Amino acid sequence: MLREIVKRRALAHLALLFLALPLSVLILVGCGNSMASTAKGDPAGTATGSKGDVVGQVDGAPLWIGKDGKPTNDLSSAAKDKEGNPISEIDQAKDREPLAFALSNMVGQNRVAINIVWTLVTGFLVMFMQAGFALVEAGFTRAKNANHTMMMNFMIYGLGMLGFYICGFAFMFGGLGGIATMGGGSALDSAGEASINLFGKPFGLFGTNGFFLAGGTYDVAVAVMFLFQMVFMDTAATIPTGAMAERWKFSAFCVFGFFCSTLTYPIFGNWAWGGGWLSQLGANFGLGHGYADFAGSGVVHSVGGWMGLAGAMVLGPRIGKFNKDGSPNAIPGHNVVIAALGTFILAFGWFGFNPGSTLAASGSGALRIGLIAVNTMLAGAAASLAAMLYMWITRGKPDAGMMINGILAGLVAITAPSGFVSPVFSVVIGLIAGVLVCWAVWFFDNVAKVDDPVGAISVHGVCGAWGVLSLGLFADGTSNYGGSWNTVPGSVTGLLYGDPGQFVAQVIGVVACFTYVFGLSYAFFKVVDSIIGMRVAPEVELSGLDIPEMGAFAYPQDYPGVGSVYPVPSNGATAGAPAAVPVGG
Amino acid sequence: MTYGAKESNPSEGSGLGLLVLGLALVSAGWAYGTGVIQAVVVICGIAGFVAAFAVLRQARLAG
Repeated sequence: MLREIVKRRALAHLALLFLALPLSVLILVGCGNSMASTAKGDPAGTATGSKGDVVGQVDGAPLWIGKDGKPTNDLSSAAKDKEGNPISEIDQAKDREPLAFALSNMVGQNRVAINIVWTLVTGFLVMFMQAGFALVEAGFTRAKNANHTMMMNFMIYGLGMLGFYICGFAFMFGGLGGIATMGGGSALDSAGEASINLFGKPFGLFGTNGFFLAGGTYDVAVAVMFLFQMVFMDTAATIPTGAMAERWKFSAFCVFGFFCSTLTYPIFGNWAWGGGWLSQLGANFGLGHGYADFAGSGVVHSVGGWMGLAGAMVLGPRIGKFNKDGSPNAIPGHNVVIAALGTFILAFGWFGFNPGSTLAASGSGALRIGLIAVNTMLAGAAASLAAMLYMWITRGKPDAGMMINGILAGLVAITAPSGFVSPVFSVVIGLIAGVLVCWAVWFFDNVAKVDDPVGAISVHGVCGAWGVLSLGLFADGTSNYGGSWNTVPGSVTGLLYGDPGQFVAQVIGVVACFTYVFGLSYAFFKVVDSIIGMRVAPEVELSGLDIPEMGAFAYPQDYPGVGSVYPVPSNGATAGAPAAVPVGG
Repeated sequence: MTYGAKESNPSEGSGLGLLVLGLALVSAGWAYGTGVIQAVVVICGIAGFVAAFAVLRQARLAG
């Protein structure tokens, strides 16, 4: 008994230490940085987008005035003003050609406007994916837990958004620098990236501008970026609700919502997308273009999957999932129809997820959005076909659950490479993902003994990692997003097209993602378990979580004679609740 | 695995409210406060965090 207590305490102390370390680094490094950026935002939107977004985008257009007074593109021969800055050709034309000057400003603003509208609309599509996740997870779980499952998916939107608004966005993008496709303003000052020096190179860890979207980040372009990235974060945060469904205490889930949106997701997001160390593996160590993840197979899906794995391990399996000999039982969901509808909504939303990640529809190679959309749907289709055939051949039936998880696996896998690969390899990536998800579900059920009611760990964690690696294999070097990626000139090119360094960067990214996300999440869940409890009581789990946790059934008509809200006695038993059923129901 | 939770209750709601408050105070103080104000706000935020988990733990034991 005493040994057990000591063992538990030692585990709790270790978990606390793991949590305290990143927090200490945050505070120490953050205090050394200038928190109050001197950058001015543009809340009116009148200064975002101008001639600067046109000049340089037109092939052959002269950028400077030469020392001989003639237009030139050669910066070294440009005439300088009193402050030593090269004299811009378009500024000189203001008096000579006022209409051209005014038109170039107008075209610049229109170009940025197209990019902003595109990013907003695709962000709205991604937001709608929350409905898809909610339906898929509710459909794959039992009717007695439908309200609880639905409300976790519903509330992660609000919980996550507030956390991301308070500090998550600042940690993730507070050192990004100007967003070129949205006017390139300096609101997100790149000097705000907190970093340490290792091997003589800066390792960016997290950003420090943009808390509460206040100060210099009260800006139209930053707001658009926030909206788009917030819905991505919400996608990652909603994945563990599936892996941990049917036994997770609602209050513990709420605490997780804040932790995920303020720390777990934003820190890894900064490393990959916010100018952090993974993105600089190319510039600093010559590994291709650094870790590349176009729309988030790793940043969004693997992060969500590994959080779910940690949570499912801490929670343990549902009552009745495993027999005494360790063999698993299938616990069917209560509604394949809404699960399939949710999947269609997700597939639709993915057209925002991947093509929207250009953050642009005008200039700088952004017209590749057509190919990105086609790659997205091809991979999803190929994966669902592969999963269907695999199950049909090996188990005798075209399993509905695996067809649904198959298309999701393909969509998850193509998310990272969608902007860099050809349609042919999109199909290959999808086919592999479709089989991989079947194997992964079998592995977690039969070998790892981790109970994942909806297959979220296999779909998002495993196939997300496959997507990141596939980019390092199949990127064909034909993309051109402004001539560089992660500050490295040229196009992202994979191993099969001659750049092994890119594949190495991708492997480092996959390992870093699993180590950081799984380690931190496991420690966090252990701490929450020891302080407030992670799992509902067995009698609550058996009767269903809807009444004890939420106070209402999802389907009250199934329990005639009982109102929609029930008195909850203090002993945990529930008046009017259905009889306890170990499996199914 | 700890089977401690009975069902959700009002104290849990209070604890979560404190958690949000603590998070907001720590972030606001750290990012925008200076000198004594920064220290006071951040300390209040950390106190909010601690209080939040104390309330949540109490809610669990009471449940």
